[in-house]
Amino acid sequence: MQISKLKQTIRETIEKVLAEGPAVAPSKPDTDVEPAVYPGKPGTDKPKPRRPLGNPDVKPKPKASMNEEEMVDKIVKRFQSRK
Amino acid sequence: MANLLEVEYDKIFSPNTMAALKGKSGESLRQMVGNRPLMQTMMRSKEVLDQIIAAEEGYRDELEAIAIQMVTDAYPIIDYSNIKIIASIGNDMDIEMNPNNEDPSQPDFGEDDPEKMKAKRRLINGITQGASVRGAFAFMLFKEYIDQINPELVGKYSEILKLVFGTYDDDSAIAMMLAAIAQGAKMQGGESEMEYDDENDQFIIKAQAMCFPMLVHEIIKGLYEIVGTEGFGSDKEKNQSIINAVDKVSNEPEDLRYGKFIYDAINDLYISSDADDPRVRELFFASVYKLSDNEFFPFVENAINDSLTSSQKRWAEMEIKDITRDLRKDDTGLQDLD
Repeated sequence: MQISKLKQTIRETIEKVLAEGPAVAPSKPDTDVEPAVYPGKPGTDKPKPRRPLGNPDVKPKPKASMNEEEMVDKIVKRFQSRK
Repeated sequence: MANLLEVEYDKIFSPNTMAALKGKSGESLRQMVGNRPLMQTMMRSKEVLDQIIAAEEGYRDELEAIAIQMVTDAYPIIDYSNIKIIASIGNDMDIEMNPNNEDPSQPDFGEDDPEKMKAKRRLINGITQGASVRGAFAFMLFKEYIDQINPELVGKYSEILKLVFGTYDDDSAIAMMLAAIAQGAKMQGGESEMEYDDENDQFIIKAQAMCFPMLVHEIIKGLYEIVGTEGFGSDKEKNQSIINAVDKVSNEPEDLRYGKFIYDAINDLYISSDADDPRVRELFFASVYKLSDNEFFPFVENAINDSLTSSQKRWAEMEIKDITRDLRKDDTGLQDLD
């Protein structure tokens, strides 16, 4: 294969890969997007339900789920430091 | 003055019950992640999470709306109770972790036993986590919509949930998480909170997460947090004192581990009943939470061991019937049925 032809093939392959998607790690979700809001369904013409749910006199703390990425980072660092 | 010590599951339950819970946890680990080593599981979950985040890029508004639609469809108690939901994929919401609502003074608990109140709160927290783990897989109901965004997403959602939640059944992983938390690791993968809007007389769920299936998980967690408030009385100082002692990030890995089986045990009572109204489920959990300490602990423990006494079974059956009847009255608007 001629060098010029090889260069052309490589160029086309790279362009094709780039067109398929980013080669970098995916970005974190945007921070400037408005959250979705569901307003609830007040029964304006209905009396209070017989079984009201929830105690307004309680303010629980937020609950979180473990951040997988941070955990993995810590584990990987520990794993590598033992090598 | 009451000394609010830590309340661990093995202090709450008998050794037999703990053995049963650990057995279920081991089985769950095998089902969720198989024999894959922990390191490999965590690396794979990071890989899948990155793929999901990339695939959801550009569709977050739709996915937030689907998450809300899905949860309100699957949990009609949300409309019945006029609950508002604010949901976001990303981290644009201001949910303050470990908010400074500490009350340095210990309230007078009077005749209430603070240790039992803490133990009850711990179990309710476990059930809250368990309900949200089980409910997160409901995304399959919206498979057709999700397939239109990307036909690979449903498979990846299923995989990430199994990997993430399966991790909580792994002793080594829990030890690792607790060590990370002790070192000050932040918990920002997803979070939820509930608050009460006095002005509009309405509960609000605020949930955010890195991706769609975790957002569903967080919204359901917020719903069950509201249900969980039924385990408290009306004394705000006592309530806050118990919350400050029990609602800790370091408790969450074990709440996630055991809570799903406690949730299953009580949910089975609803499933095996004649009730065909899903609103009954959350209202039945609320009724269980309102049981006195002397009734609550044996009821939950016996439910886990499938050994409810005849009177406990009768109470559950009657309560489910009463709830169903009340809901029917509310739906028909016939006041004179009382």
